[in-house]
Amino acid sequence: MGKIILVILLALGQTALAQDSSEINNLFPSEERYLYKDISDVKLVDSNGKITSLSKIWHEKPILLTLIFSRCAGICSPLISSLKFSVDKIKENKNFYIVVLSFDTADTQEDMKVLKEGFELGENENWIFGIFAEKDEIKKLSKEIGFWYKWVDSTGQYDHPGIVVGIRQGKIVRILVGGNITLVKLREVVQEIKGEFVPFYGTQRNVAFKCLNYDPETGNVKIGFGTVILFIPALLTLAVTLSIFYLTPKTKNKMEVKNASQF
Amino acid sequence: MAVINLIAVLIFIIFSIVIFGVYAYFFNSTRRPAEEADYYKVVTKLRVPFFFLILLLLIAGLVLTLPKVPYPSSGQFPDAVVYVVGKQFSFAFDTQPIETEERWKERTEAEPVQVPSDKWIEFRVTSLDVNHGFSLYDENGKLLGQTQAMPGYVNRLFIKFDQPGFYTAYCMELCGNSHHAMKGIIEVVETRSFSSKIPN
Amino acid sequence: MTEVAIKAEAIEIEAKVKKLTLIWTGLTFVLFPILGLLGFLMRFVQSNIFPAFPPEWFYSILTLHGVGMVGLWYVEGMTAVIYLLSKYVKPNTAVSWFSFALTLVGVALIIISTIGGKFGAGWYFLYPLPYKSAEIWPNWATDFYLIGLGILGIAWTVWVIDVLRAIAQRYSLNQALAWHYLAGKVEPETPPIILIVTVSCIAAITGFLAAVALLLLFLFDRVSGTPADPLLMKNLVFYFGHVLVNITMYLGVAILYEVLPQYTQRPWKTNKLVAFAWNTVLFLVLFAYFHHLYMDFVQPKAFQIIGQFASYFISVPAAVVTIFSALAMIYRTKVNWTLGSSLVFLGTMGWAVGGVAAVIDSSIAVNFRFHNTLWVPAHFHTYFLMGVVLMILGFIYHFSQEHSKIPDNSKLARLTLWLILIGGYGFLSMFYTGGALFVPRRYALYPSTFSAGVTIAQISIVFVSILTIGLLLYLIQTIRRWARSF
Repeated sequence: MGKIILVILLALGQTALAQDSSEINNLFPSEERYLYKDISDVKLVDSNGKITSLSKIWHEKPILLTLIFSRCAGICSPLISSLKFSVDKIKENKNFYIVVLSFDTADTQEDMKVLKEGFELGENENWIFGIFAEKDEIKKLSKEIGFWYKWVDSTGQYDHPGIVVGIRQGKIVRILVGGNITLVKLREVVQEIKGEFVPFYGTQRNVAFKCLNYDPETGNVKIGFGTVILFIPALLTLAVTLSIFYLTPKTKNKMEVKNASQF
Repeated sequence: MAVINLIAVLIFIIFSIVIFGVYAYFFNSTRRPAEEADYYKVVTKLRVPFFFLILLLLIAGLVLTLPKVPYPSSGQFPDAVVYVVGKQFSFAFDTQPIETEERWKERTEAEPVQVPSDKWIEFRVTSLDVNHGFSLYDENGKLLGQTQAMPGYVNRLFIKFDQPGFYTAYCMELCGNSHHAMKGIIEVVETRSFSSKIPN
Repeated sequence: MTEVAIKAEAIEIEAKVKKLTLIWTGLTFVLFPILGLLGFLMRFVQSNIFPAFPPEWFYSILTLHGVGMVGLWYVEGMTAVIYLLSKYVKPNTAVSWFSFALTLVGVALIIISTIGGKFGAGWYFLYPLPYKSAEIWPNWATDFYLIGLGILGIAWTVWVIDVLRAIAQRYSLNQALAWHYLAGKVEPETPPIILIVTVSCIAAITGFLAAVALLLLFLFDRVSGTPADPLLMKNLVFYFGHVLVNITMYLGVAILYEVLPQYTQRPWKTNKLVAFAWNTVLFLVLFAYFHHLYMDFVQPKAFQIIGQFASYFISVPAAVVTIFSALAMIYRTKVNWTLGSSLVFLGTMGWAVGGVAAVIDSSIAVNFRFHNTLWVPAHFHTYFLMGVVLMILGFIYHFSQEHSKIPDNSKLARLTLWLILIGGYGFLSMFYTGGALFVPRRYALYPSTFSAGVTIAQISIVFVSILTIGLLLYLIQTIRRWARSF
């Protein structure tokens, strides 16, 4: 997490410095503050003009939500591209929706349709592009997920962080921050929005013979060489025992060495 | 909820008394050895019923205790998450992951983290150096639950605190010469007063 | 070979084995009191009687007491069993002497490591603590400890392999494991001690190999700086420790099967039930160790559940076959109760009580609150001190009496037994109380929350004193006969 924030800091360094210092701590949503908090239901209009709501969607399947705007010349495009790329890499059933909402009041449902087709996702039903049906809900939702946006006159653009929020049954499960959504991180989020625990995250260390390897590519916890090592003593013992019993010549002598005295 | 442990202790006491009794009885019987009869076969007739009794007790134990394992189940949502890191010789708590020694030190000196009472708290426990045992006790010395703090792994412990107050984590895995002095403190506050304190 | 020559060989073997037993037992007479007194000292420190006692010394003493007792009773158990086995098979006495010499070297290294170097990682040296002592003990102390263990491992692995070889000379593997009894046959006869020792030795080899893997990974980390996986290391060390302690228990039980019949005049033979019981044990003992990792939630859940099943059901052969038969065997029988036979028999009671406590703690939901509290030392001291140790002490007396021919003093024996029982179970009851009150184990000093721990330790001193007097009386009676046995 810290590393991602650091990268964003460097990339948007100038913008960061231009911000009011009191906002520095809220600049990049720190996931932990929002974890497992409820997210309010918002009505949205999708790229086909259909009116629906976030809750309708999350009752069906868990959601990956991201906020962008269509005229974005900055982070939005790489974000959606990398998200698409990583989502495509996930081989199993894509039992979740990716909801791309515009926070720009100037965006229309047509704009989102064009955007969706621009990413060659026109026919893809897993991706929902849309705009907020009620404009006053934009600020409210943004605050709930730690998202912010600021219009910059000089560039004619909004400045905002790139985030992807994992939502399950109306609760925030994960927040990814950044313009490049890697498969590793996405995997974790997808797993958690499905309700499966990710048992390993934290310091990645170069460790000899791990017991269990969490493979971010497939999301499987695979038996590592360490677990194999655990079974080796028993197998070797079998070999040793069999060797002892088959290699030792039997004595034909039936004489029993009797214990001299007994009580 | 220490009912299960109370029952465990009672079962142990009862069984021990029974065992002592049985041994005393059998020992005493050797004082009046049966001259003509051989009681071995008589006693061994009890083996099969005894076997079934033991089996029954074990199966009862399995059925009653296996559903209560403390391992978090898939999809179980906590109401709040606290990150815990054990390091020789203190536990540090925070609402964000603690990944460096500096942050650990800073957190051990900071005010205790606050969590709401009567809600499920998920502790994500790890260690920065050696194995520690993260074990939560209330002010009366009652153990609420524990898990191991292992370097390189995160153990997720779900605890619900019934009462507000200060709870202490003691170390339950030998970790060096100050193992007995190692602890961490968390504060549990009334749910109502808690929600007003969440920065948002 | 002529009758005379066979008899001469038999007598020669017997003389060699007897000498071996006498010498190994001599080592026990030296180490047992020292290690026991170290334990006594620990209770003193925990009672706050020596408030200035440095905690690092407590932990190094704790380590030495732990590894010493585990090792000592394994070694003496093997000695006893080899002596009893020599009636049926011929273990190589030269190998035993080799093991003895190496054991002395290993013991010396461990003593230097703990007393000299203050190594205090606990007897099961949980990775990565040994080399991360927070500057309390130097790396060389850890090196000595691990090398010492390595040497003991070599000594004992060779020893165990030789015992298996000796058994293999007369019995095929399926005969040694009494499989033919499962098919309803009783010929060729497999005495219970052969069956139990075969099971124990096979299990021992798996444990020692796990220790080899463990030590190699430690070495790899020490030399290359690449850390090992702590979860793997934990699995390996608890597998090794669990197996070692359990087979020591079985060695004691082997003594029971072989020695008790001599006092009840009733044979204890293998049958279908005994064969089934011990083969089940061989299988289950490989999986029961998972109960040491219940509180490592990252361990695969399947392993945890298997651990509870294995730990529960391994109590069945013990209770239904061995302990039940032992009780049935003495019922209204004229038993020659000497100090020796009484101790061997009473060991089964400790096994039973400790077993109940163990099965209870091996329920994951219970373990959630009992893990690493004083309940743990409570139950293992029960089936160790009041279980296998009594069995082995009983054997030593039996052996010494047999060869010295000094008759048993039944009044003194009875006094000794009562002191040991009251002192021993009283001492244990304090541990159990501590466990019930959630007092943590392995604490040099108790913080104020656990002031009950201090009180408990103080009371236990009374009981340990009684136990010590009892054991002293035992030693006096036994050493006298032992000395006369040469």
